[in-house]
Amino acid sequence: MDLTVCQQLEKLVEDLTTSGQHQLDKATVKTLKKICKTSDEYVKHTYHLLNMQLQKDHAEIRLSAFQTMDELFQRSHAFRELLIAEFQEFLELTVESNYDFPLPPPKGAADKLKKQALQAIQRWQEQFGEAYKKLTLGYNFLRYNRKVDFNNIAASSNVERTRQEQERARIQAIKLQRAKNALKEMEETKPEIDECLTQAESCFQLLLPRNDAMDLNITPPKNGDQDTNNTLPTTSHGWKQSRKEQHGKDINSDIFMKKEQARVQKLLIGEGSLLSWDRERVNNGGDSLKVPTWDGQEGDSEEDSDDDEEDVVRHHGLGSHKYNISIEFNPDDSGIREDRDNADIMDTLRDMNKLIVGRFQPAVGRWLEVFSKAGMEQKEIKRAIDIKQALTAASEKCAELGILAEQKTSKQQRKEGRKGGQDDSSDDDFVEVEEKEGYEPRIPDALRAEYGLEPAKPETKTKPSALKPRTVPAPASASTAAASASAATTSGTKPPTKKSWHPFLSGDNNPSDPTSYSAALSIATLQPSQDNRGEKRKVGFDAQPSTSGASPTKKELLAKAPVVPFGMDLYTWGEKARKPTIVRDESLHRFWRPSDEGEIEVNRLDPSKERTITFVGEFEPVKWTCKAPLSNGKLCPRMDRCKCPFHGPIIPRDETGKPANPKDAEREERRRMEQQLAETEVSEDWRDPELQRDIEAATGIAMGTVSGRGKGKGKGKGKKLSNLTDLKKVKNTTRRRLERKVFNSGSVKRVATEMNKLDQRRYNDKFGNQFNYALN
Amino acid sequence: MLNFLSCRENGTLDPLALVRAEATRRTFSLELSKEQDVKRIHASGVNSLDLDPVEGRYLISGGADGVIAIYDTHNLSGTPSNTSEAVCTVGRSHRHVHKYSVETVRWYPHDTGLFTSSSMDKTLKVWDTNVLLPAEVFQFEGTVYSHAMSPVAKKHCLIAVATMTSIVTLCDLKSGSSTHILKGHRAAVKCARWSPRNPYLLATGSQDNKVLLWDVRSAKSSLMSLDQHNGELATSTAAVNTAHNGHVNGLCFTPEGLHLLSFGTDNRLRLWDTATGRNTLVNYGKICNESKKSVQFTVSCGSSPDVVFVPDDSSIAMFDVFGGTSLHRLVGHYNYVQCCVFNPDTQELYSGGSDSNILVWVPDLGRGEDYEESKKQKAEPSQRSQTTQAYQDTWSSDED
Repeated sequence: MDLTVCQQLEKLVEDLTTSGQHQLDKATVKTLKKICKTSDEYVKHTYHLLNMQLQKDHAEIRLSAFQTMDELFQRSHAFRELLIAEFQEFLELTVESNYDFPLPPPKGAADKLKKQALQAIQRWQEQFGEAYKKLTLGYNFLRYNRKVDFNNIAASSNVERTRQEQERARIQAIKLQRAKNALKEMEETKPEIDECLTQAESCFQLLLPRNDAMDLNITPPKNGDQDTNNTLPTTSHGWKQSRKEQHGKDINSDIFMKKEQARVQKLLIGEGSLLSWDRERVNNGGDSLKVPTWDGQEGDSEEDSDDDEEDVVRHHGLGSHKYNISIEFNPDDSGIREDRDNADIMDTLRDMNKLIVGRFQPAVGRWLEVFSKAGMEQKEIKRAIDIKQALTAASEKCAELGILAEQKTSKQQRKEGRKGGQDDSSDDDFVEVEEKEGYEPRIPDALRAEYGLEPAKPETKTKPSALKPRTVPAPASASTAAASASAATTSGTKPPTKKSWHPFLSGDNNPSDPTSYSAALSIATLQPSQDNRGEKRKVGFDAQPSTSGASPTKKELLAKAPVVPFGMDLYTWGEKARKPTIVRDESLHRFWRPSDEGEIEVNRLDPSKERTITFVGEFEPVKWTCKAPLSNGKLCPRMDRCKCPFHGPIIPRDETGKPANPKDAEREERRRMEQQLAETEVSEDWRDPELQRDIEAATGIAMGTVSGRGKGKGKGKGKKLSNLTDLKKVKNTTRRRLERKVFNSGSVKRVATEMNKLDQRRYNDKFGNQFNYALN
Repeated sequence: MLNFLSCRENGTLDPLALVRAEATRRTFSLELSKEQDVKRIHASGVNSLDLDPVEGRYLISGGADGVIAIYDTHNLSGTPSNTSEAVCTVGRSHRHVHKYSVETVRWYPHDTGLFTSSSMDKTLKVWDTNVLLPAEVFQFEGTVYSHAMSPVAKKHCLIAVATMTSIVTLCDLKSGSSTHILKGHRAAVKCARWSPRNPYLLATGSQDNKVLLWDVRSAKSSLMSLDQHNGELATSTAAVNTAHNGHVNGLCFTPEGLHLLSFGTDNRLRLWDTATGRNTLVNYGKICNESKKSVQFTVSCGSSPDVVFVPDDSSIAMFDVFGGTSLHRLVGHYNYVQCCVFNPDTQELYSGGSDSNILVWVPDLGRGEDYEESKKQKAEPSQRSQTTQAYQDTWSSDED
């Protein structure tokens, strides 16, 4: 054994193993083999050197060491003996045969090492298995005990497979659990849904009687006071007609029937008197509406119902068929009219629709998704689908009837409306009272244009008597009261009456119009609870709105008044601040007694007077983006309030991301220059080896390590591992960097003190005046 | 060797001495057999091995998969390379297979027509080898860790069963019932061994760190409790005598029955005098023992000094029994070694491990190379076997 040769061997092994490449440098291997060929002693020495390298915790070193070993294993018997004597250890280090010692990072190299090692072991086994018993044993161990599939090494090993299976099982279990929860939820909600659907269904039935339930003797929904016998034949004929036209189509026919019925009713109502057929015909003729002649059709198409018709006609004392019934059919009119009688039903229906659309349908959709993901039983999925279909059908029906869930406040509106309309005052219009602070009861004519109103008509002033003070319910809100009060002041004459007036049938009473009466009412009704509270606690405030004068100044003040929770302050409002009485106990001491005269110092911050009010201010959402130009051509989409963490303070920018102010532009330019400078400095470090590698790749001459070493000699050991993947650098991820910032002791301490301070303050606020907490 | 032979020729040497010398030589040179092999039957670890005491030919193995297999170890193939085939197996499909892992299998000491197996399924089965059906099944309350039959008993036919309960049960094969129980341990009993000298002497090792010696004729209490400190420690009284500082999960008598070896999870092996119950204080050093179950180890027979083979992690350690010096280490298993059994006639060792291998260790007397040589001569140069090639260096010419 030559010492220099040994040193050379060491150097060669180190070069090979620390190259960081996934392929060995052929020239170096050749030199190594040349030396090893001369003597088995060198082989042994090399083996020990390689074994040392193989135990390093760096997958790239291990990979290179293994590749070198593979080369020698195929050549030297001595090497094989040595390696196979310690084959268990070798397996642990290369193919992860011991689960307690996983392969070190980086992962790419580790995977490659494992794969190559398994391939090599299979190759060795084929080549030398007979001669080396332990090799066979090791191979069998991997094959049978570790379940390595040598035919398909690329496939993951047993461990990974089991891990994947476990993961899959875990996810499946979670899904199943979710599905179970959903199922439970479904079971719980099912009665609710059923109830809702039943309600909706019965509402439909109430609104639209079914065909089979329809008979001549059944009276249509009541038409209030105007419901007379004379209208009956008309409507029933109308139904008959529609039934013939739309036989079989259930809901549609229902709707159309209803429409027709409603139309006819309306016509009747509109006339306000008993209608005769002729009169209606005349009317319709005057209106130039399309008039289908009913009896003409009946004669040729519907003989089977002739008897019925006869009956009907006779029942009602009508002599002949020669009546023209005009049926106004308006396909644009989608939905049924709502009036006082069916308002409750409509309300319920609307609520149900809201419930279905807003709550049940999304829930069912969610369950279905969960079920299908978890692969639940067909039965459950089917049930969910059934529920969904039922819900969809119900909501579609609602939609067809024009009942939309969006009309949120309509219920309240209608209630008010009904009350208003109860006395049949039949007011056609109201003055649209604007809901606003500082209410102005009258707008001078000169200012009308300013308010966006049409020039005053004499009629508008006289109308708003709909809400007479006596009709306003006692607990009405302040604003309602104000409105009514104003109405009372202005109303004098009775407006021209129209019998069938209804606040919601008048076209100009649109809730979306803020100036409309219904909108005002809706807002008013939304507030009552709040306002009631306010009334209760405000001492001296007149709680009877109908009698109060409701001066505008007061209203203004009321608008300004803060809303505070009820407490001792309000309880003792207006009372004179009481001086705390000091109770002195009789001293029981024989000689000593406390002085009576001594002034008892009253704490300046008397707790009975001190109030802590937290002022938070209003949250103002950030509406702007940073908009600094990014490298990919886009603009920075970050929405920070003051400062973007990447682009500094947020400044006004134009469409292309350029700063609007020239001063800002200048500053930005400067910053960019600095950054560039810094970047080039950093890049100097790594550009050199990169270039070198490029040259190596181009020329095919291995100058990398040699020249690297030559250069790095002065720098010593630090340079040695430069070709390897830096394990520490790999870890330099965004998460790491953030961790470094967030978890460094300084910031942790800062946050901790801040939190402590907050706590302290809260305690002070709550208990600061109690002596037993004072010391904390 | 030649010297011994010539001395023997001259009549100057005792024939026993020659035998002993050769046995010792062979025992000391045990290596993993290159030619002999045992067929792979068990899908998981091999828990127990036993060689039939009559011929030393049939090897029985019990696996963690509940399978029991019987191998013929004799090489009848005519070539040195031989794989011991299974004569019969109680496989997973067998009607009477043990439900869980088989912990111990034992031949009946006087005949191969009977063997016993105990398992984690709380049963001890007595099998008829020829029809491979259980002749008797004993049920126990706890899982059975180990059982033993006296190799020398003529007057009784008792099986000592060590179970998870602290009671040692004695099952009588004659009556087919458990005749009596031995109470003395306070925790699970891991191992039980009969003395090869005294037919009534039983040693049991337990999880309570104690080794108790029993005379089964007096079931009242144990004969003695082995004390690792020989009563020298101030606190050691008869009540708290401990043999180890960990669970005792291996016991083995020396072949002449004068000494007892105990193995504990404190990674120690101790040698006891069975007559006095004293610790001989032989120091074997640290021997790795992490097994939660019983560990089977063995002592060679006929060599001088005698050698104990103890499973040490994934290898088998060889120690001089009375000197305590480590002689050799048999490395070949890829996982924990659970059991080993020594063949006193051929000085071969069989070992089973968690890697489901049964390995044969034979005396390596350099004969393999002679055989290769002869084979090489026989073979044509053009058709040299691959095996021969494997031993050659194959440096390629371009490395010159």
